[in-house]
Amino acid sequence: MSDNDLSGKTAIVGIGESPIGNAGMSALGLMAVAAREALDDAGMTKADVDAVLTTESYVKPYNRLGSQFGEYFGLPKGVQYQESLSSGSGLAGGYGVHYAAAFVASGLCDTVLVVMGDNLLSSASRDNAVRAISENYEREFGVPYGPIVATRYAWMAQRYMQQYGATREQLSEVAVSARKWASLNPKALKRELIDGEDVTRSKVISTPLHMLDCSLVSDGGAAVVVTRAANAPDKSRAISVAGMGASFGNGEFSYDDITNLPDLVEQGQRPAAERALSMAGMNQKDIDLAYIYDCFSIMVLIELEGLGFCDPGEAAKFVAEGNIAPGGSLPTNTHGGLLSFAHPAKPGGLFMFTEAVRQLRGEAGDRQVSGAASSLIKGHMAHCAGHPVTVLTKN
Amino acid sequence: MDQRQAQASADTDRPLPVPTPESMPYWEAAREHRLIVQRCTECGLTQFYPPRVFCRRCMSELKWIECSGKGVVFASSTVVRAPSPSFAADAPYNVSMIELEEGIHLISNIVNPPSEGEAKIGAAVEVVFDDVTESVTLPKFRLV
Repeated sequence: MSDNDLSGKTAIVGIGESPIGNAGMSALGLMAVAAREALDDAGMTKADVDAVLTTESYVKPYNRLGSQFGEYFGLPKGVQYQESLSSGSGLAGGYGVHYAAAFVASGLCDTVLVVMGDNLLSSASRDNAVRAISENYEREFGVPYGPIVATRYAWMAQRYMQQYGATREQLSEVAVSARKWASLNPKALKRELIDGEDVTRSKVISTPLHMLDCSLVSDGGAAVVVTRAANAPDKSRAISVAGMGASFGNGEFSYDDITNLPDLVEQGQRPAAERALSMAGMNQKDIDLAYIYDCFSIMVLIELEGLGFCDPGEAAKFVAEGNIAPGGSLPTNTHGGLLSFAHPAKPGGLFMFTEAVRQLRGEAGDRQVSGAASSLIKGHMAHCAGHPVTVLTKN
Repeated sequence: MDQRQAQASADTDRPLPVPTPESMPYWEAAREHRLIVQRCTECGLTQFYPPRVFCRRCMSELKWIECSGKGVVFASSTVVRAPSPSFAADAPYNVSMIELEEGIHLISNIVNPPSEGEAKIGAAVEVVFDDVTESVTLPKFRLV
């Protein structure tokens, strides 16, 4: 099957989200609420689901979360596959949609439910969540030295700012822009507008990153339903999976540990972006909306350049000029992102898909970007191992 | 042993490395205050993480080589908000990526960071050894 055969063959026909914040449900409950809403939105029922793809929970090591979800949700016995993707946080959403599209396009399945949720805040507490994630990477050779999650991104920020002369003030504008979007989203957890000084006045976490450079800790679940585009129950609301691509690493080898990422600034996203855009028959200039896994502010600068939206060293200025904020030339993370909307860890990346679909359908309320017809979505696992890029378009 | 190291030694709930059969030689050498990494006997590629049973490039045999212990700061940060209570007493403390002369990167602490904050990229460092428990020694670095 060539790339062109895959483009547009599948569509996201349903989206759903659980409550976020402190939601008072287990990971399975959050997933079930999101899944029910997504199936309702698609005009489908549980019986239409051939496969379910989930991701793991930080809070509770469910083991076999895919089949535990099917059992909790009451999927009928006709379901073929119930699988939990083990990849790190920001990968799971993108990988889930790519695998779902591939399953459907190949004919292996008709309809795949991608559903991810975790009760990170209510069950684990902010402190325990930060600890669990901090200790989940570089366990043998890094964790004994005491880095916090932010430290890996602090290293990237230090190198990025030195390499390009970017300023701390410019970096703050990433968080300021995210908050502007969140202020327009009634569901976002942090809606009060902030300025650059608020960012640098917030607590230092790991220099040069402050609290407001770091994503939130919350509960949350999201779900999308992927089916064959030709079978979409309501074609006017079906959003096409137009392009997919992925890459892994920027050196000679793929990697998992940050010590094997030779360059902390140019991280190897470009081949994935080019593949996804080429599959969609588009280039960066054709993209109306960007969704970037903004676990820490610095990632938005690194990704804007790595994906080819900005030339190397230009992203800081691009962001400081308001280009990713409401009214800007490349509206980015229009829900408020992980920085201001919500971040339930591994499921966090799937909210980029639910929001992109909402925007492309024209159903995003006060934050609707007029005429938005295409979006590019980019996740990454902690410290940038793995680069799934997805292009979604309006039919 | 400075005050920070003494604090670490007293602290037994801190996460410590759990060696694999492949990485055991690294930690045994660290206990002897030697820093070793693997190098391929065929293609010559020096490699660190994770210690392996054969070369990550050409799948030939590896041997452990002794490092000079010298390197430079690749990236550096001062951790103010510790990841867990066992590190809280030390905060703020330095966590850096070190580029060894042998060409590999590793995560470590700089034990004498500048008073104004994180270490500068490219600053010269050399290894020191912190005997954190009777059985575990962590290679750390000092600015020279």
